[in-house]
Amino acid sequence: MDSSYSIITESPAETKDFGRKLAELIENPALILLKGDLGTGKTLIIKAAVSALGYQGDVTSPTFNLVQEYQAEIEIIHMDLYRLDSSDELLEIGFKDYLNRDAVIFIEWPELALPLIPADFIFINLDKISAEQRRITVRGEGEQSRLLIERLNKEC
Amino acid sequence: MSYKDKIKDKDQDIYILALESSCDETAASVNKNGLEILSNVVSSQVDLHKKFGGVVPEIASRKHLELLLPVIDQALAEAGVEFEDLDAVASTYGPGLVGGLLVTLTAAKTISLALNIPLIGVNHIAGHIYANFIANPEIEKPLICLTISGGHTDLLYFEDLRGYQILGRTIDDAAGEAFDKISRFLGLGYPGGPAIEKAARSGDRDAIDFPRADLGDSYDFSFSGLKTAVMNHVHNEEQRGNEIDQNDLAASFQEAVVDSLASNLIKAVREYKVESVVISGGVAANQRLREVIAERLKEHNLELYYPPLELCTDNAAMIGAVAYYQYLEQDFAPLSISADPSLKL
Repeated sequence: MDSSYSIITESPAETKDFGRKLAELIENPALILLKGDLGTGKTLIIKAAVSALGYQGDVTSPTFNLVQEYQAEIEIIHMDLYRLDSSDELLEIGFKDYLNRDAVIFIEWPELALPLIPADFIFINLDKISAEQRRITVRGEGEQSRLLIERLNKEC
Repeated sequence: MSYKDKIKDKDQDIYILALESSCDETAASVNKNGLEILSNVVSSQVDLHKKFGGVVPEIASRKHLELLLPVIDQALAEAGVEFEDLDAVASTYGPGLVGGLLVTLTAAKTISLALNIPLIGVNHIAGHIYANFIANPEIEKPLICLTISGGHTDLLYFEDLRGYQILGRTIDDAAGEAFDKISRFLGLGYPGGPAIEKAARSGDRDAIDFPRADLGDSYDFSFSGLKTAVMNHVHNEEQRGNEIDQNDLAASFQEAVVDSLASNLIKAVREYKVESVVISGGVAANQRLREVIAERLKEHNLELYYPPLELCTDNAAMIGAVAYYQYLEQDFAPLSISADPSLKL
């Protein structure tokens, strides 16, 4: 039941590769939470994934405006909850409405979102091993994470 | 015959099955006459949630549902008690995560109806206070209890264990909430209590004289002004281009919180002439708070009680202890009782 996928990337380029692979293996809609300290590569992975999903424009962390939407073939929503203090503030920005959208949703700093999400999500944890190396662990709950982990493990 | 008709007279032993799953522990216990714990089974989901860095309620409630029946069976088996021996069944009904509360509350209602025994709804915060009385049955009454955590700050007076009177509570932030917010503001991490306490150990608690809220004769608490004072101090120093010593700041802030808590507590001790003083809740783990209160209680010849670590985590035995005293008062819940996620004392 407790399945997971783990990989060590040796460089930012390899971390980006993981983001691209992620984009190929998920299905729309998806809810993807990314946890990791500052500078571990959360935004890098999302950038690569969003671009692989077909969006050509710029992707930056929406630390100030909290949410950014990108329109490609599919709809992509990018959130960064770093500066929020409580889950209540999430409700105020209409978090529940975003969850109901037919979209791929990426959430950086997802701790405050945990009380509000359904039991079906992908959880990516990033650990810094050295300046360049990262350990990426994929876990989660429900069908979408089960499928993704199965596909990631098959790839290798 | 009503489901609550089966009430024993008080000379006989009373067996209560108690259930608790308000957060991430699924727990059941059997208590005899309140403070005697025959079994206390806790199945923790902490590891399940740790990997996500917080509790996911949607996962928690499903897990509670899976675990509850085996946990109840084990609690009865360990106690050597059959369903038929039970005099009442109790469940936490708040505060907590609504999904978890509903699981035990529904199970308790079902057992109550099936066995025709009274249903008792217990406040989780009261449970944490009664954990003290399980650990220290010799505690003398009357007593004052200060219960402090991330969600509440309440000062209570107990004539005996059958009920309490609220003397004061926070009018804005809970003490634990103030710790969390300031810790976050200073970038010291979560949970804020232990983080601030750690930083404060290497700091000077007299470095900055932060204000203590003056609420006159009342026993109420306020931490919102202190929070603003800390933030203003940091901004002012930054504007002057001064370096900020985080440890001094943490120590001075902690001292202001501890002093406010201890002062109100001592004021109540003087007024109510109690035999014992108890602190409970997450913030009661703060060493500086224990030290200051214990020191100020010396002149009153009073000892400070706080719960042992193993009873600080959620468990059902503490719920059963509260339930027993509610049983004596015939404070029973109707089958229509609903979970109240933001229940107060």
